[in-house]
Amino acid sequence: MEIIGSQRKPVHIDVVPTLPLYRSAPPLEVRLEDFELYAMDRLRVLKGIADGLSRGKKSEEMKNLADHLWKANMRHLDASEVVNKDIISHFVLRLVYSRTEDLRKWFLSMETNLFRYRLLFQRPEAQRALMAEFDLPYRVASNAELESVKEGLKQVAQSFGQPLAADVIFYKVPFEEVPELVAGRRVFIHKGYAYVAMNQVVSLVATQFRSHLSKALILTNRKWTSTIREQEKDRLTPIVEALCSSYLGPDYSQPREFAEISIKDIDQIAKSSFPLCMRHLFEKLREDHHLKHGGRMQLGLFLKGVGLKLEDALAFWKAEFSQRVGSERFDKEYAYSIRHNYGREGKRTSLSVSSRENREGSILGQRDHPGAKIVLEFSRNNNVTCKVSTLGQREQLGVKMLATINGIENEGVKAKLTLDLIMRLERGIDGNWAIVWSEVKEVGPKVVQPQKPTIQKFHKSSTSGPSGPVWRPCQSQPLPNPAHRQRGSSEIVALGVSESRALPPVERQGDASSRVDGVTPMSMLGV
Amino acid sequence: MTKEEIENGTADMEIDQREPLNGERSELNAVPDDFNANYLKVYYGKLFPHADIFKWMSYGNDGKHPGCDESYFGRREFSFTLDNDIYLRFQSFNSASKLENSIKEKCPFKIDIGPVYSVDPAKRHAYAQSGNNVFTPVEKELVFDIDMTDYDDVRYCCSGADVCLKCWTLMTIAIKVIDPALRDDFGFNHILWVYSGRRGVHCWVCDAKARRLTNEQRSSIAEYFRVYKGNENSQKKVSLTSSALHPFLLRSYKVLEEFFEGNLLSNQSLFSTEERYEKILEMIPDESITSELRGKWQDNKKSSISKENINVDRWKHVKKILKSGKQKPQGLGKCVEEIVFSFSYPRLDMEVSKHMNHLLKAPFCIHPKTGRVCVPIDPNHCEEFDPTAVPTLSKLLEEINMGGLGTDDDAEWDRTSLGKSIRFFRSSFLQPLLKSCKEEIENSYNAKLQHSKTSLTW
Repeated sequence: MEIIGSQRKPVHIDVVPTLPLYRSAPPLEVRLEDFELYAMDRLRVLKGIADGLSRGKKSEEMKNLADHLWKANMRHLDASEVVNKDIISHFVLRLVYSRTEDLRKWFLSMETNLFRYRLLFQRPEAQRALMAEFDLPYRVASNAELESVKEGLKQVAQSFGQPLAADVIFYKVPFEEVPELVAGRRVFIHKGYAYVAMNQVVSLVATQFRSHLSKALILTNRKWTSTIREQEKDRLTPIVEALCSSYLGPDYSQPREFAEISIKDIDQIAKSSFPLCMRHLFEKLREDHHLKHGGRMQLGLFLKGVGLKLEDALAFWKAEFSQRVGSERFDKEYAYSIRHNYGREGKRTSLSVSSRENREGSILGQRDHPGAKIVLEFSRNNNVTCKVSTLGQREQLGVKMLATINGIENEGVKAKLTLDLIMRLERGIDGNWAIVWSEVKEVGPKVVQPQKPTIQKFHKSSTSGPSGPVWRPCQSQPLPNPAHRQRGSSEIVALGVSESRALPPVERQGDASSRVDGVTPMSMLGV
Repeated sequence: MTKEEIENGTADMEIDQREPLNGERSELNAVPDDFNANYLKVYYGKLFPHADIFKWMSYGNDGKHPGCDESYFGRREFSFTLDNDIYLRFQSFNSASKLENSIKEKCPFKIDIGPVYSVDPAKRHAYAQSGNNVFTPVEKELVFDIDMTDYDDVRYCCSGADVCLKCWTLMTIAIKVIDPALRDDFGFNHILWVYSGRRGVHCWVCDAKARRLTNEQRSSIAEYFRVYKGNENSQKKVSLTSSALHPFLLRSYKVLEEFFEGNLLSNQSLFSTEERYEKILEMIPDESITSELRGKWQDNKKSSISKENINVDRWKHVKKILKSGKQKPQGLGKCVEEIVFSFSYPRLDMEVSKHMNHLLKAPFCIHPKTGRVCVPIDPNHCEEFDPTAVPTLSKLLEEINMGGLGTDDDAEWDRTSLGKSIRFFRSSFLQPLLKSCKEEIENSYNAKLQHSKTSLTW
């Protein structure tokens, strides 16, 4: 594959009806621009698949999701370019993701998944044609062979509740080639050979695809370290190195006229529309009149992103900070970084809201990251005592806390409940955090006093809550928490609604005790 | 390590099972029934089959054939657990004598066998600097580890580390289910079953094809064998979702059924008390049936049936009512199978099998807690295997002492009760294995020659 700087001489390869297998790089010339853009489009598809998988979608849902993602991102105005785009983007990402073990693993897994889902949409003839293209050395089991293992084949078919059709073609394949069919006991295995029915060929081809790609990635990596990186130092290398960490969410760097906020509304908006993490920072600032560097950077850029102008920002920060450090010191020490955020100082590049890079460094580098903050918030404002421990990872955060709720009081009935709350936060493809999974377990004794008829109700419902402990917001709500998605843009969603989705433990609580009238734990937990 | 250190280190060693003194013990040759580093030194010096282990781990790459890979054995990781739990990983040896000398010198309480790496594991740091991840496992036997502790909820005779002949049946069943499947389904031939020294069995599948399986392929085999999916909290440990059983499970069920009905029912007294039969009734999702059975059995208590029969009879009731066919809800029939599977199907330690770089204790080690030798088990006669009759270190030393001095040093093991095990290891495992290894080396060498010839003429 050649990459040319400006001129483009499209070389059309024959449009193949089936899926490309990416066996070798095509003799194409690619514009530098397309090199990057195509790759980003494909990356959106792969990240979408990764996202879907991490949300535990079923295979049928995943198949449709992959189809949808593919159609949304991999189109091309020129129909004849569609296949080229597919191939080019694959090879670019192969280069990008060949560089470390982790990257290779991720890419291998996602590309294989994508291939499998696309393959499932092919007609059987096309699947068979692909098998031929792979030149798989498998042969169709002869009738005599089938006769000898007929009983086993019949039993396997029955184990899926299907009768064995008379005219099914079976391939005789070393069992190593179809690990997933073996693992699921979905094939008959005899003397080292698996008998793979025609309709299971997808698995066979996908395994083959995977092993080819796996080897190719190693080779690509060698090529990259030995020659390409150095040769392309000034041209492709920067692109390649930046691509895998590029931020693919909406672009907040361009100010939008409809999303402009002024200082006087800011409190109101913070309350109603800020994502939790930002609201926390905001309230912290109002409370302490100070934020550490990372927090200033994060909130500052966020405020810029949602449309706070530089002048207003300076006034806003000054109003807060001067209460603590005095206005003179603010002008000297802090104003610079705010102007810097807006591209008025230093390199004069306008920073945009939390690109992936920024976030990783700043949020996770800090002692109190968003997950923990949200939790601490509960503890402070409400009668909830929390023990917070975090299991931070790169893209995921786990928050585990022990909460004792002892403030539920109604008509003289007091209740105390110790809960073990576990939630997992993940960053979605748009770069924002959302709670994707949570679990509530009752760990401590419930103390309810004094006995009253209403207790029965409360008692019952609060045990029924934790009995079904796993709550997956993604099943009802496939996108990340909308509260995190909208950053003060026009589509402002009432936070109350969206948060109740994102905070299952709270919702459980709400469920449990909303029947005890007058008590709304939602408000109790500060939502 | 000095001699004093060795003695001091073992002074507080715990011994789980002390064998009762028998007649022999009172003789002059009696050796105190303790596990002791000094005895271990004698064992490694006179009895441990170093050469056989070397031959096995070389897989025919012994330098005698021009086609063999002389670096092969040297890239194998051994790891030693010394006294005081000092753990030495990444030991490697490029000859039989180096292996033997190191074992004799270090006198490890436990020897583990790891994978064959791409490069000599002892020199891995040198390669690590090149940064290209060249140090990676390339071959390892497919192994299985079955441990009795995983069965604690279905055995009533012992618990934890203890085993007796009654619960050992569960291990016999495991061998009888896994071994034929490895041979008939997966087509493996060179399979070694080993007593783990205390409460379980290990299985080594040594075919060339098995040694080269990727982690993913290993997982798939382990998953193929996995039926048991429960944990202590879920009522159903085994869920046979599909309407009919896969041929492998069907075949296994025949074994399970035989042992369940013929052995476990009465030996484990599965239905003898209310607590025990309630556990089985929990697995039947139909209230009316369970209450019917419960009623029957509670009345039954008064009438005097012999204890032997109570388990068998009650199981008959369960089977009769579940299989009678008049049951409307679908799937109640398979409850019988689910119960049998739950109480007898092998429970593998999945992680051991799934990864190439998992280490496993070498055969013929001595278990430091029991003093018993990890001897091979003949899968064809595994029901005859008695873990409580496996030779212990002290028994072997007594036998050596009795033999006296002066005889040919090489065959000392042959006069002890270990002789049988070593002979079995050689004749049923090692010799056939090496034969096929030689053939394979020969074939690939010839193919290479052929290839280079044709490329030369061209």
